[in-house]
Amino acid sequence: MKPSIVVSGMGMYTALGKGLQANYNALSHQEHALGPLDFLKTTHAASFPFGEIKQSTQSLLQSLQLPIHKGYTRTSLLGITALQEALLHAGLHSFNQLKVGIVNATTVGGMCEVEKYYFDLLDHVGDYTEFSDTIDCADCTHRLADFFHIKHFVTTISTACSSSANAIMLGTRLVSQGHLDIAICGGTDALTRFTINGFNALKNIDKALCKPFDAERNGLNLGEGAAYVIIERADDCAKRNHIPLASISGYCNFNESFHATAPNPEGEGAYQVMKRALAKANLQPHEIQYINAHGTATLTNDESESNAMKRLFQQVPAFSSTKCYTGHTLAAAGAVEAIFSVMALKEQCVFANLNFQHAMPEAQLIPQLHFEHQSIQHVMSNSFAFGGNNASLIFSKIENT
Amino acid sequence: MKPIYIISSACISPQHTFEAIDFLSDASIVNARNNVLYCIEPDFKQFINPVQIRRMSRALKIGFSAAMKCINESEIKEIDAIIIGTGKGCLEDTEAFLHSIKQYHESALNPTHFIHSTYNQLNGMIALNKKINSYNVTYAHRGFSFEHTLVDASLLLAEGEANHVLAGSFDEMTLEHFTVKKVWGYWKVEPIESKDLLLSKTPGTIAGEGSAFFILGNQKTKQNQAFIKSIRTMYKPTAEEIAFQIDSILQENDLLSSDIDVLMLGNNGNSNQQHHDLLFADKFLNANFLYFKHLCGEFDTASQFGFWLSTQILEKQQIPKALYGPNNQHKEEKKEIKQVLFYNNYFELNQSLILLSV
Repeated sequence: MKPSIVVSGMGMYTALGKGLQANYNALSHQEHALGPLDFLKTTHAASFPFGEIKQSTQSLLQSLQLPIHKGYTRTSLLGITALQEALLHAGLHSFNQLKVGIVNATTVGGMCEVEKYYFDLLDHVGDYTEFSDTIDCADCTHRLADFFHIKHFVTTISTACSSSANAIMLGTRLVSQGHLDIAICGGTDALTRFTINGFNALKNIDKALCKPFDAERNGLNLGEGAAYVIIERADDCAKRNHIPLASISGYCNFNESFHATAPNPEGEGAYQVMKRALAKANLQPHEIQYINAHGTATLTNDESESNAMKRLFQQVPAFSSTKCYTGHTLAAAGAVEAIFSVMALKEQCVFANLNFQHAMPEAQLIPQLHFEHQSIQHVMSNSFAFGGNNASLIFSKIENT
Repeated sequence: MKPIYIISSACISPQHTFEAIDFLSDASIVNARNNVLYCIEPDFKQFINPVQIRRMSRALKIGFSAAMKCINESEIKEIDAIIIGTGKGCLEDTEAFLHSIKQYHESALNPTHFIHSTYNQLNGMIALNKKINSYNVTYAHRGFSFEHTLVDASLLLAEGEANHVLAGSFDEMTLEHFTVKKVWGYWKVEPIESKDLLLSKTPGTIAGEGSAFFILGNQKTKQNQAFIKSIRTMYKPTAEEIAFQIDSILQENDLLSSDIDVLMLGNNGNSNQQHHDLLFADKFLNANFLYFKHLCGEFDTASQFGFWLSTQILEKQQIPKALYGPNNQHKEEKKEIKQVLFYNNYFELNQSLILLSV
């Protein structure tokens, strides 16, 4: 029989604040964190609302007591800050003989620094050598691995907006098959001019606050953040007298092969990935009490996701997108929202979908509009991405804890 | 680990590996120019339709063509997973988008380069063109990018979640990236002949690029078929840890070090990294030591090339002379090549061991 796999610790840093408590407080008070940029220099700083973390890179470096001029990028620093909390939360003060691995996710990696100095680097003007090796996804993962002395397995997944959901899946599989005792899974992405201009060129950033699942929705808001979950076998967690937070009961990665950037409006890929995750969890659709939707508030995603939810669930359970609080944190989003899903189980609550006024005429679905306490056994968390890279995770309440 | 069979493969590299008419005969060897080895590009039109080809950058064309040839030759109807590794993704697109942000002051930008700069672009493109609705993931972790596609494939096959997996990797070298990495000391300052690379005593190496794809399965499909027996990825390992993992692989497969017929080594002539020559020389007395980086250059997924060569040597039972070390030292022609141990060291960070057999 496959071992039961649990989440035993979590840590995060988003625009809502540093740490689990700050994030939960904001969600439960229905307070978003989107606004103009203070730190990142771009001509779009005041054109769109962003989920920017209001701590400078220098201050992040100082609070971690790390040296300057050693190539620590904002992406790395956000990651280290979030992972510190996750390991503490899991009660892992040392790894001893445990086989510990990290499956990190990022889409921009060190681009947040490289883009500032790229042309100087090319022309060999000034000394920005510290960042010349950060122009990829692996740099920030190496920084995390080195900071926390993780050696057994070190990798990075980059499947755009589903990256860290896939990281959680791989970690679950590695632990389940016994390759690792502890899998540290999640993602980190800092805001960059590169991504802001990319999404702006695709014309899918809303100038106003994003309105997930609303008829008048007009695109996403970008954010930054880092989030990690600690994954281990339930019996190992019990052996070290630690109380787990939730079990990982189902997951699926499924490519719908429809279009390079747009989802199938019928929601075929979203339907398949949710259906297969349910099958993996051995659950019926009606057993899901809350869906933390991908809900980017782009025209195509929300249409596609709504159609898929309607097709799969006879009665669509409470669902909301939390991207209207944090912004879309790209590679971190899957882990950020996995944590919100586990919070929903722990606190027995559902989170409100902000800025919603009118249901889409075709789908006629109304998301959860208020923060509410409810009885919840199983939660689904969706992450869909460019290239048709869809992922869905299911977390379940652990009884008697 | 259960054996993972190589059902088909395709490799685009700086050498004549794609058409694979002659197997690296001495006459056909391509040498580095200005410390870079670029791929020999195939006729992309054979694999990509004219509408798509204009929009695709070089890395995508190379990766896509290698994947298509691999899929077509496998004659496998149902592929259950696409797993791709790339250290840097489509660099040309990333660079082009950085340039356009500057040039047009962050306004009225064309999103194509941005879309193509996402690391999972090739994954989506292959899935879309071959209508492969399946597990689909991208590893973007420098010197582990290729190896972790194999690790993930082995998990999927063991879980029974897949019977046939497309796994492979791609990376391109651009002039700009060569310049950026030069700052960090990746490349040799002085120009060097490919044939002299492995004897070099100076820091840095030569750059390269390429793409290789494999259809992997857990069932044997043909005679003389190469298969993977064990994989290890080691992050910043010490010499002791490498030795420990070698022993653990041998033990796992019930082999003695004398059973290893070929060592395929990723030495790159960089005096700033350990090549563990003594560790290998003392341990593997019966093995032929082969090298591949002087033929493909160094890049994040260079191990794809050495791995592909290992599968070819096992299946063809033939060793191209170009792979023998700098002193052309090799053991007498062996009757049979049965076990190949592959070792790669990506700038001391990401190191891997793979045991292959036939």
